[in-house]
Amino acid sequence: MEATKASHSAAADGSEKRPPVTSKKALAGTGGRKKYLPYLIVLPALVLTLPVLVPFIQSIYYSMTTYSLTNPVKHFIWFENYVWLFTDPEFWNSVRVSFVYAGTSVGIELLLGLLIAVLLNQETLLSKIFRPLLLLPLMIAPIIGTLMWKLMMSPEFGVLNYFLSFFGARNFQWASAAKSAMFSVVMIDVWMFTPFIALILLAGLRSMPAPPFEAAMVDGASKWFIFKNLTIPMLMPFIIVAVVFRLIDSLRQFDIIFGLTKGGPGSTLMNFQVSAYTTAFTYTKISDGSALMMINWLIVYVISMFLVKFWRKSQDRLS
Amino acid sequence: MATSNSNSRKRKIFFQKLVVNILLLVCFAFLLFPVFWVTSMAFKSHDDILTWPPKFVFKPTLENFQNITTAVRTYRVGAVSSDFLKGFGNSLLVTTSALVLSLLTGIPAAYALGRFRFKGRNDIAFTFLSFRFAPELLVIIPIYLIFQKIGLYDTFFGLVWVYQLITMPMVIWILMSYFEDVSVELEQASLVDGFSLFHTFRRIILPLAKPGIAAASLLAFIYAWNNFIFALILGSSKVQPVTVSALKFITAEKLRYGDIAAACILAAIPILILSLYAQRYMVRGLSLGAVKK
Amino acid sequence: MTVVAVRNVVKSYDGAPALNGLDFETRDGEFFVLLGPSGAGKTTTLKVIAGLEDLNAGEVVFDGKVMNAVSPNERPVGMTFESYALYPHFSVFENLANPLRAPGKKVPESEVRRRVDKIAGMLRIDHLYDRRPGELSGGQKQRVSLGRTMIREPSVYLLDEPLSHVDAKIRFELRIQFHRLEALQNCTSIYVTHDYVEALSLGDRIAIINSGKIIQVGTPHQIYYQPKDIFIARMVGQPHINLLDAALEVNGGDASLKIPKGGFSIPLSPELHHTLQQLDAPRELTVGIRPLDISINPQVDKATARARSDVFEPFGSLGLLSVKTQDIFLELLLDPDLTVEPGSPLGIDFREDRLMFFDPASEKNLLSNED
Repeated sequence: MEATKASHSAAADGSEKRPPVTSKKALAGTGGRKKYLPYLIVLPALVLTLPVLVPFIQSIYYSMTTYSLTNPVKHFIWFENYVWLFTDPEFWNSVRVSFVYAGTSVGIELLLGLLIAVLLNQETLLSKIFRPLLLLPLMIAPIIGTLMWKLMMSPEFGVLNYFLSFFGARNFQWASAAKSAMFSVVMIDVWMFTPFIALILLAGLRSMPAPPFEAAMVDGASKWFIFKNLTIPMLMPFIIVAVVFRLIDSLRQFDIIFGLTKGGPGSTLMNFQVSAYTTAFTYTKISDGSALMMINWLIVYVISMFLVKFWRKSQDRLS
Repeated sequence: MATSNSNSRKRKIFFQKLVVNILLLVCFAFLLFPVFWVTSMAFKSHDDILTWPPKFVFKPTLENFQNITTAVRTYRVGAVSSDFLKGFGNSLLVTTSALVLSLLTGIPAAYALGRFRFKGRNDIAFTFLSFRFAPELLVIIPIYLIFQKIGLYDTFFGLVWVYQLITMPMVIWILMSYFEDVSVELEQASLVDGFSLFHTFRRIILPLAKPGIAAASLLAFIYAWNNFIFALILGSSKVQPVTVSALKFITAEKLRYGDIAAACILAAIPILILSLYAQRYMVRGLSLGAVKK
Repeated sequence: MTVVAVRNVVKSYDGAPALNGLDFETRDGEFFVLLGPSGAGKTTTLKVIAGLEDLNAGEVVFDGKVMNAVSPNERPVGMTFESYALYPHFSVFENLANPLRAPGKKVPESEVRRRVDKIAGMLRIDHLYDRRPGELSGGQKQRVSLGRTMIREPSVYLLDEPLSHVDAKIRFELRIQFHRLEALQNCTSIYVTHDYVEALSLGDRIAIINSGKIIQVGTPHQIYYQPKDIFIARMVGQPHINLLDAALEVNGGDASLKIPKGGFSIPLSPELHHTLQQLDAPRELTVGIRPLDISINPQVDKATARARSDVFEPFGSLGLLSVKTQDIFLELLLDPDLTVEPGSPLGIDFREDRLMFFDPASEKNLLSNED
């Protein structure tokens, strides 16, 4: 019922570009109150946060100038920075690093998270013990968690290399070597954020109505068949929410990479934000840093728009 | 026949549970080991850490914690004195202030956005949401320059203000989700009983939204406390929260592993404790109200 | 004692009109029932009168005073909600006392206690003071909801389907209770329901609402026997009114209604024929007759129509008999103790003064007066 109401109101009123924020049932009538009241109520929150538009506009502006801290002359050069950026191999390195990092991390987190969710959904001794512990990696501040892994990844004294020594890899370089740096940082990301996906998927599994599954079992369907054709499709809204959230966050990841190697060795881990930080603060090229961030923002914006549209559409299905 | 069937079924279930338990053990060994290991490292003496092979059995000591919590201490290597406790206090001050500010302004805003129909409602709500998803440096770079100019760099006021970009979206979107759950007719009944909208909000809506306020507060606190990038760039020695001051241990020439481990543990403990209370709000909070259990 | 007038109210939700030129006026102290199917706009009407919803056009008037700009907490109305809307975090006592705690009322605690005791006693809920709404049954919640409304001593009662979520047995008792509640009987009340039995039983006057418009206003008797159109005729009454396609035939001085599919004709008295002629009745008509107004003629040959009995369902105090005349089925209400063999031939007569005539195209009752 609610689903049709929400989508109907989005279609009927042509001025609504976006799906409505709340379902119709929750809305109050307008009886008796002044028309300007909601604006008045929202005002303080807006006053606090809207000033962020100023630096946002400035970022756009800086990205189109020659601004640098060592030479603060701002020549307006339109899109020259961007053109230069698109021909700069360092830029494409950032793009590659960002997408490889995000894609690999989220991909692994999805699979591992699904596994853990399914396992925790069973009623066994360990599942009951571990369920409340799932959150642990997620709750630790990303920078702190990264430091913890850094301690373990020390090539000399780190405990990880101790375990690896049993496989003959005593001197694995982890983040110190270009070849293994991405692997190291993805591992930290997976450790930290798999619980996020697992938690949401577990909630999804728990919310599944029993009748379709009972009917399928009575019809004699195999467990794998049920999983593939019932569980996964019904889990889709949750998967999409979890994955898109993660994608948006990992495409702009800063803490983990910065904490581990500050983008090194060399530029092997220079994703968008770490690269922008280095460009703007180490190389003082504000304009280039801003341009890089504009591109990062656009990518993330497009993805988040997709999430928002999908989220509202399936919200009635989820709750 | 019947008993052998049920016996084989029992065995099958036992075997299945065994597999599940083994897999869980493996997964959670991965998830929990780092915490366990670093905690043990925090209690190891300097020499016990820098040994090979790493020691699993050792004599615990509190010297690392003493090192980092003693107010002013210059390290043997490098002249950087990292005032860890001060960082802890800063975290507390900045996070709490930011949260309170967001609650005061965000709770009414969430209510208005969730309940009332007015032009621009969707746009405003999604604007708040966009703060959560934008790359921070996009605005931090210009804010850094602005703050330098207007003297807000390395101030509590500046940091608390910028933290609104973290806490406000959480407060507003999580609360919108909880306000939705409060029936509109309860408000209408209160109006018909003779109460104004303001009194209705205070007596009826707010008490019923308490779980939402708890959820929003816990999650906003966690995200704000765990934040690193804002404080890194917009703050310096005066306002550094614990996330930034922990990093300072690394910049010294020789890594004092024990100190770092102790710092990590201490920095993480408050949030871990809070998260115990926040367990039941987690899914709804993390997804900003998108997923209601 | 207030006269409530709703004048040409239009209210739309996102472009779709919920109330479309709604217009009616209650009488002082009247128990006014708003009857209509789901989605007709009944609840919206009440909320607009209470001021909980804005209107796009039109006026809500209390005693001649336009109330459009008055906020709901300042209107002298009390409203019960279909969902009861009891405050879950307040005890029953606090729920009842709530209207007395409104700012500006300044009612001393002893007075609050006294008034709550009085109402709670009247409604027999005074033993539930410490309970929370979550611990009450449907009937109890309904009474607390009513009590809360009454404590305010409003000039206008707005009751939104108070009985629709209550068990059938309790509904009967509560309906009687409505009759007995003096407070309700003496104040202007607007009672909304989709159940015609409640409407016919409780209302001084009934207004039929559909698609946001009032179709007919009248006393229960008028609604039942002089429905304005087929829609109303069908809605009010169970089992449904029998509707027959008929053709007016005049044979010399005798007029009759030929029912082609039924294979019989109903003779018309000269007075009735004359009336129909005066109204310019079309030759093709839809005739309606309620099940109660068809009787069995023991002399089958002298009966108006010949039929075969089909299904007989005795239930409690009535028996529902379905008969077949040639191609059509008719429903009759009879004494439940009769024994009727299926397939046995019967003669049936129609009570002429209860015949209703509808224009087949407009579906309007030809005999109804414009109120």
